[in-house]
Amino acid sequence: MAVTQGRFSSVVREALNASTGQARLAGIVREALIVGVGLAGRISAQSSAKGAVTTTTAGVVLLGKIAATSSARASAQLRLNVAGTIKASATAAGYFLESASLAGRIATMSSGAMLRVGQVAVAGAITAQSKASAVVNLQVGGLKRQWGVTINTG
Amino acid sequence: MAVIMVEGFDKYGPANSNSTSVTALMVGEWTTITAVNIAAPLSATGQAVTNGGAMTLTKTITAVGRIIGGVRFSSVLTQNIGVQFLDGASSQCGIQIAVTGIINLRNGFYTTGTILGSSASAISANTTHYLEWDITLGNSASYNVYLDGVSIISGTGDTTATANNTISGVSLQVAAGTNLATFDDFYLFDSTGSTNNAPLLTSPRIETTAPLSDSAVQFAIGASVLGGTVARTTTNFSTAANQFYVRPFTPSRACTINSISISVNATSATVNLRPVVYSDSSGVPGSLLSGGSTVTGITAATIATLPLTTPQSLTAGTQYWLGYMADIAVTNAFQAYDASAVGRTATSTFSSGAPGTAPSTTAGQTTVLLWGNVTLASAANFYEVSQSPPPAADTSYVADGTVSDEDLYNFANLSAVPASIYAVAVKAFCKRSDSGARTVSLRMKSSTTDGGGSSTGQTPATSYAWIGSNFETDPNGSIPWTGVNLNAATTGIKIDA
Repeated sequence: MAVTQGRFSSVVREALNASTGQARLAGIVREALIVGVGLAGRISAQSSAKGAVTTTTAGVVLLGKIAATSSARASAQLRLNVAGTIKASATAAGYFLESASLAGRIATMSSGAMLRVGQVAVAGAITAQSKASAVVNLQVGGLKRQWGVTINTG
Repeated sequence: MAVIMVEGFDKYGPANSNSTSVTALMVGEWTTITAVNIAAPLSATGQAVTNGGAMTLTKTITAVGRIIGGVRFSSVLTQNIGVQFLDGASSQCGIQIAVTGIINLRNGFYTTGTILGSSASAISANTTHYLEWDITLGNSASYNVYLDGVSIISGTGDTTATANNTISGVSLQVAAGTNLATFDDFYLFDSTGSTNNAPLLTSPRIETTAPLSDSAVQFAIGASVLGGTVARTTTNFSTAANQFYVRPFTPSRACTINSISISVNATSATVNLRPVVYSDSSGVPGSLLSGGSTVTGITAATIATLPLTTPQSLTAGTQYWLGYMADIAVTNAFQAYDASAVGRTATSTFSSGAPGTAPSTTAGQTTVLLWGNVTLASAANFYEVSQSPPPAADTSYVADGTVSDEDLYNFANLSAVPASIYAVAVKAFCKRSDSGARTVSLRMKSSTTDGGGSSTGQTPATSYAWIGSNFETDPNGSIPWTGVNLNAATTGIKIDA
């Protein structure tokens, strides 16, 4: 008498698992919200910013009314702004400047001199003398990318 | 919560005029990304965004009744640009920098709504300014707009155009054109909390740093790459019959290259490709180091990976030439990487195999978007997560699925120790490998204190996207950050559950 066989040609195990995938990280950064550098408000006598503090400063801003003399000097400085009314003289001198602007009313004399400047803008009313010179790159008003330009007015 | 968002626009890599690539890189950080390109920064470091068309860059936020923020901008002043405050998809109010240089605060849409106030003077074209705002939403609500730290518009009026006295989105917009406006150093605060609840008025900027080395790692390396994998231009490159193409690569770490991948733009079922790796000989390709068997066919928008028959070890700091050989012409076959044109081509009979000595090549060819898939000689997890920009695919990553495992990295120092640090955000470009449950937190370890910041237990999407967590104070003592302490802190990611 034949014995009844059980035949199987395949066997598998199926496990019901919780699906917990991996976390994949392709990039990570830190973003720090930090202060710029500002000299703001009315300066009636003399305002000066110079030296190591601004050596690698990203932003220097002189805002408001400066009645006598305002001077900002830095090396390896990346950005410099002198804005507002300057009644006597304002000088901005820096090296390796990326961008600099002298904006607003300059009543007597404004001077900006720098090497390797990315952008220089002198805007607003200049009633006496304004001088801006740059070795690498200079933008004055609507003029862009002039090389070694010196402008004297008044 | 006071900090809603800080965005330096630095983490998306170098200048990029391929809006599609940029969109993929910004996912998660921004909600709506239309016609955005990456440009040179307006502040000292990193990058900025500019418009590649009619630009809309919108961040959806939890609804707030008072919104404080700022952004650095420059405009050519030939198109309207502005900041739009949104309630859902509806405009509540907006700040317009008009083509005249006058800045307006308007009820409703930023270019057409009723003017609530205007600046007394105009800005000049192509000058960089820092715009800030402090706007309460309401029918008779106070508003103040600042330019370069000085109030230019203030008063009380109707700052809403919907029935809600809230906004749920902020959008940077440029009406039309290309490269007509640039935005940088963006922050958003609400008025809650004891700090970061008022306009900063200090020409603030955002400096982004990336991992420099491993501090403590538990994640496993998933994939490593040599070269960038994201297109930064929209141009393409065509193969030619019997084309020999290579471009230079210099690995920063010793590694073994296993295959070469190419970003494909056009479909061809019949083109035959072969990978090649050559040594450098006085600035041009020299001897064949490794090749591979023929791969037939390419499909548009699908990465073509060409395995090397024998993986080739590469020495850190040494230049090599990676590329391919093709047998037939395929118009616009591959995407270009950038505009550097460092590729070299020659004609070399495909059926003859890879030449033992590279043929004389012609320089100045398109830089094709191709890269090497490598195995590092010694594991370095920071390498996989500090590629710039972060790969948009699984070409370079670390991974882990064990609860409490954590990777921490040493980061680059800030370019200078700042006088004040208002807040630090940690951002990670990450995903889940499948739809299973997995949560993570972004970590900041200062001295011995390891914190997760404002948002822990985050669930990454199943496609790569940015997640973030804010650290308004140093977790070691909950004191204001100093530059020294931030530079010394380690940062990373942890599996929460």
